[in-house]
Amino acid sequence: MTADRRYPLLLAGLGLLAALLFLASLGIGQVWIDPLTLVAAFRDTQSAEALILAEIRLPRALLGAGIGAILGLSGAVLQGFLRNPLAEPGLLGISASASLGAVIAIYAGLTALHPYALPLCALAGALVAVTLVQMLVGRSGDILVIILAGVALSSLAGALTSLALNLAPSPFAALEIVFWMLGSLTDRSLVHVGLALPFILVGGVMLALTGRALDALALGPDVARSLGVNLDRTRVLAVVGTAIGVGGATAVSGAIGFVGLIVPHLLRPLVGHRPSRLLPASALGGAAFLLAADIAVRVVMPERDLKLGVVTAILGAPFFLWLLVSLRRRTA
Amino acid sequence: MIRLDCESVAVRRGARETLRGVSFSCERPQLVGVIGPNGAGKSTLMRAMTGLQPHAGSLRWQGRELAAMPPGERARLIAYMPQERTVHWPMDCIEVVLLGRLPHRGGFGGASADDLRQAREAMERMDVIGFARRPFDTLSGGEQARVLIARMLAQAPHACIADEPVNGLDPAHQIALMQVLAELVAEGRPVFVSLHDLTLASRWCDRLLLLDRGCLVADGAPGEVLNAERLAGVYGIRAEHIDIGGRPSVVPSDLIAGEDHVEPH
Amino acid sequence: MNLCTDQIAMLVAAPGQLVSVSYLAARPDASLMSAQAAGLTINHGLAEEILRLDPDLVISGTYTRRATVNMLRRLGRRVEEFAPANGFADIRENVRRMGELLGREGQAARLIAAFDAEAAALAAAPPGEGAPVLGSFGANSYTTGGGTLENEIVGAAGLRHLGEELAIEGMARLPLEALVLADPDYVLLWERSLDDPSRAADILRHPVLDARFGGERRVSADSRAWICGTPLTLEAVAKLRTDAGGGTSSLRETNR
Repeated sequence: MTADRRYPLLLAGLGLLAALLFLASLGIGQVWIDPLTLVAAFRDTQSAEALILAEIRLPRALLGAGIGAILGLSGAVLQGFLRNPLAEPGLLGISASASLGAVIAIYAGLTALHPYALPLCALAGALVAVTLVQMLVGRSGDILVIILAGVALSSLAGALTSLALNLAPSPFAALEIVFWMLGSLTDRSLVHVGLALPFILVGGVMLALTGRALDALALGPDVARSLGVNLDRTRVLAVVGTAIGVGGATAVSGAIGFVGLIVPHLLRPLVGHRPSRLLPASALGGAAFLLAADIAVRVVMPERDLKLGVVTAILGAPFFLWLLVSLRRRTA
Repeated sequence: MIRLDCESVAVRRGARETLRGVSFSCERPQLVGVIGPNGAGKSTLMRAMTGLQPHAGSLRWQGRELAAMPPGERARLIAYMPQERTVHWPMDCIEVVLLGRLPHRGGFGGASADDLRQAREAMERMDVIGFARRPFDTLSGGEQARVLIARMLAQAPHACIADEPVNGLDPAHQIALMQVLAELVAEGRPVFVSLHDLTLASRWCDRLLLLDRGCLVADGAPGEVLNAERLAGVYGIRAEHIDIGGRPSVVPSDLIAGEDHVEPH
Repeated sequence: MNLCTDQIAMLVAAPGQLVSVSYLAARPDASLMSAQAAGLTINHGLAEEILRLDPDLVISGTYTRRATVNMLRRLGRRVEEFAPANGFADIRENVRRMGELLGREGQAARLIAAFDAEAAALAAAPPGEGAPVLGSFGANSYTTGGGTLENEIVGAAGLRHLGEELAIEGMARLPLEALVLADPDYVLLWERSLDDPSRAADILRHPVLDARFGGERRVSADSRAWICGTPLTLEAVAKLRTDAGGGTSSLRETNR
């Protein structure tokens, strides 16, 4: 079985790639520090280099890996669950809605009451969006329906985010729409890691539990149920898992698009198109992809604070269009 | 021996009753054809028998109420093949067939050697083993149907329910498929198959259930069910009755003028 | 119509001469003269508001509400624009011009004389090689460099300015990593005190700032005195001198 034998190799390769990019992300920052000095920083924990490593670069690398993984994973799960290759948290407006929740939490001062208000509000925003999408798209696998649902949700969430930022008392708020729409990991601290990672982990476990059901769903919902799959349970896992994971991620990074679209698509042929196998591969691939994009952001224009979503969109949007054309050709 | 009892099974969709008081029993392995015009409720009955369709009345396999059966147990008892033959991802055919083994697997385990053996046996039986490593979407319609039947066989069910499996197959594959279904019956499994082709139904089925507008209007051997009166009343057609290899068969010939039976309601 | 020109105008104008100031000039957290603004009409820089007040003269900042300024001009109002002060010389010039526009040359001259005297009293030798370095760090990790009012305030207080040391002109982004590596003796965190939450100001609560530049190395400043170049700006110099003046830098040579 070639695909069977290839699969562990693929996972190991992706894992290694993600690990290397994680290390690179520690080594490449906004300013250049000699790798030897960085290694020395492990001994002298009081040096400026050690501080930069532990407090600035480590959180950024951790968030890049975690957020990339949950975005890749949720893209793979949503595609399998909705049986639609265009499903992705960014395109479906789930990330934008999570951003809206986060914005409301921050600028209404809820985060001052309890830090967890931030991820929880983002989660709530994401939950509303996934539920809506699932209701709109659940019955028909029509490409048009899913794109229009995503467009409608994204614009609505974007407009409301903009409204919330305009109403916010802080003079900087109105300028921050860019961050919430395009996402960035710049100067996130371990505090943010503490906020996001628990949600990413819980959401990730829930999403990972859907694997078998997604395989069965390849044959349609009726056959899946006849194979003993509990679709209600699967729906809860997919919807709530996505909301928790993407909500927690977006709360600290803003909405980062296209990761959940590109990564599963590139990996799907390599795992023999089986949805359950795609899940771990997409999580590792997503982590590697976002770490690489975040390194690119820092290498290309370190002083301009390029938004991460700009890089993923520059790569993702043409990919999306190409996918759309090839899908239309196939269904036509 | 598998036994199915349907008692006053009724299904309501909005204001419309798609099944009304359907009762029958199946006590021994038979090839049961479910026939009737478009919209008669064939698919609804098939889904209900699989446990996919909420319904009123009682549906019991082995004396146990289907609705109360755990999904996993139900999946090891009955295999179902719907009318639509979509596989949403271009998986290799062996992977598609292996999906039939899901009810027999533990929580997270992959396919065992036994699963693989049963999947390959099912594919050999359907003469599709050569496609094992080919993506499903590169196959012709008839080949896809055979792979999906292999998927159903791999489930190693005690009963099979197939909704219009011969649709879109050429005559040779239609006959080959009916042969396989007949073999499954000979091995001791009841097989329920919905059919539009009355010739195939009368030639291959041991028993026919004739549905009309949600009601079971006839239940019995093909020769009894497909008499001229019912064909006229339910389908609005005339048919030739011929004898094929000792079995009475029906060949529809022409419409009965003056009555609009083509569009029920 | 502008926080800074409003404050200069309030200092220069005769009682009753000024009709209206911007809402920011009346906010105690933004303006040093919110008490004086309390008796005046508040505007939000909207053309309709201004026209209803029917003023003889509108004073605006160069970068304030271009559309409104152009509209007012089209409608025949006299609008005078003031560029923001980038140093003490600009402050003197702005006060002088304000006096001219308001017919209060005497008051303006008195303000300038007092400003010069106070500046002379504060002035020390220009900061030498060994003077401590102060770096400022604001929302969205912006720092300020040479050619700015902040630069002149820091210099007048006898400190070297990190922005200038890094050859930054005006405002520029300074990555947090670069700030930590540059390791200035003092760090001035802008907007940290803002109660209104925003993501831009979030960076100022990064744990690394507390770990590295906590306690004595943190300089607090009254942003009201720093934002606008007015005669009141010298308060910032005096405060900074008492907080951080004197001593020598512990800064090691940076490799840039």
